[in-house]
Amino acid sequence: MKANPTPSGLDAGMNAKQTQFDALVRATHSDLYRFGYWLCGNEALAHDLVQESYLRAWRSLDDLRDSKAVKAWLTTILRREHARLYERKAPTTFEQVDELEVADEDWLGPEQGGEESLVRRAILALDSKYRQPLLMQVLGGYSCEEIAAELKQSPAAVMTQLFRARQKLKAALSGHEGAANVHELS
Amino acid sequence: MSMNCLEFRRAIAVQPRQLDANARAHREQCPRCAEAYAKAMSFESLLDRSLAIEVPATLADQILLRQTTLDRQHSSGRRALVWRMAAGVALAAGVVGMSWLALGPQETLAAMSVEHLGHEPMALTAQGTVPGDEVSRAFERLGVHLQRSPAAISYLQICPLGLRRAVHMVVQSPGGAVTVMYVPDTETSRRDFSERGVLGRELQIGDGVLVMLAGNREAFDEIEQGFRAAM
Repeated sequence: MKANPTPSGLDAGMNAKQTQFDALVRATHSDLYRFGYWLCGNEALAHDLVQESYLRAWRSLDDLRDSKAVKAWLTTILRREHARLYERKAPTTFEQVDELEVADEDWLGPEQGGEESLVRRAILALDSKYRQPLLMQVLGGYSCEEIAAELKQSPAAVMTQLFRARQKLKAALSGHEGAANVHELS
Repeated sequence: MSMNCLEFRRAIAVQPRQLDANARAHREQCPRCAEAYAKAMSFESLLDRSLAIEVPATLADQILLRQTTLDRQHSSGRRALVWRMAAGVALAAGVVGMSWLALGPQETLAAMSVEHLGHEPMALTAQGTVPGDEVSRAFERLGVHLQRSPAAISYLQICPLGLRRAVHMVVQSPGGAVTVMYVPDTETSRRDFSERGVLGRELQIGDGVLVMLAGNREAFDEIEQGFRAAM
């Protein structure tokens, strides 16, 4: 029989962990879902990706030391999960441009459909090497140097990819695909 | 260092949202580049709107429901395993205990500590880290002041040990779980021992005795140092 045990330290620790995780999910799930969606281009896959990513995050929550780094930490988990998923389901996602265009129409209300629609289609049509750094920068808030470190590329290569990604989107917007390589200063 | 128009246009083509001080200074001085910056930010705004797709309204709840469900399933499985282990340990302890009584019990701290293992087998499967202030409070309750947390402790209880009370802890080490008992206001001579197949060490630290028990002695030195530094 125990004499005067310590008041449930482990239970308190688990409750604190669950509370932290609840707050983390509620604060970050929208951004992570959007990142996942634009990474894979499919709502159902994005849903699965986000669910799996949060399960992994829960299992390794004790590794998270800096709450300011939570978004980057989750984005990294999701990117790795996406890489695993893509390995398993290989070419059924990105290449199905027709399916993506049908899904694109679903987002558009009657008042939308102009520039945003064009940009969305153009984003989905971007090659992964351009799309991923762009998403990391715009949705994840990463700097060029951080993207380079994460993608194991040189900062110069990432800057080129970001430049070209924007040029391609602008070209799509102006209806001149061939304008993708025109320098802004010209 | 001042920036020229070409460098500024390159900067806003790559990182329009993170202009450095030089770029900001150039924008203030050059109306044409300021105009180009405004256009670039207009595009960024369009990009933000385009990427801001609708998020399923119940997504957060679905994530949390799945996580808590799987966690409960995992916990149930772990509890079942612990109970099976407890039953096994209790049976073994019963058999060993009968032999022990027949041979005449040696009421050493080592023997009592080993016997106590059978009472709380779930301690060895505890995960996570007990906060340092809880560890300090447990020692304070037995009249021992800690300078700092002695180790990463995954289980903590104050338990009876014979007629004494001890702080019962488990430290997770690379070589496996190590049970650590600290019994205040008692004395011993340092020794390594083997009790009923459990390897152990007992030693004096402060006014009490530290007993460590495990399947191997790999982590004993490090844990001992941690406790010496903490007291």
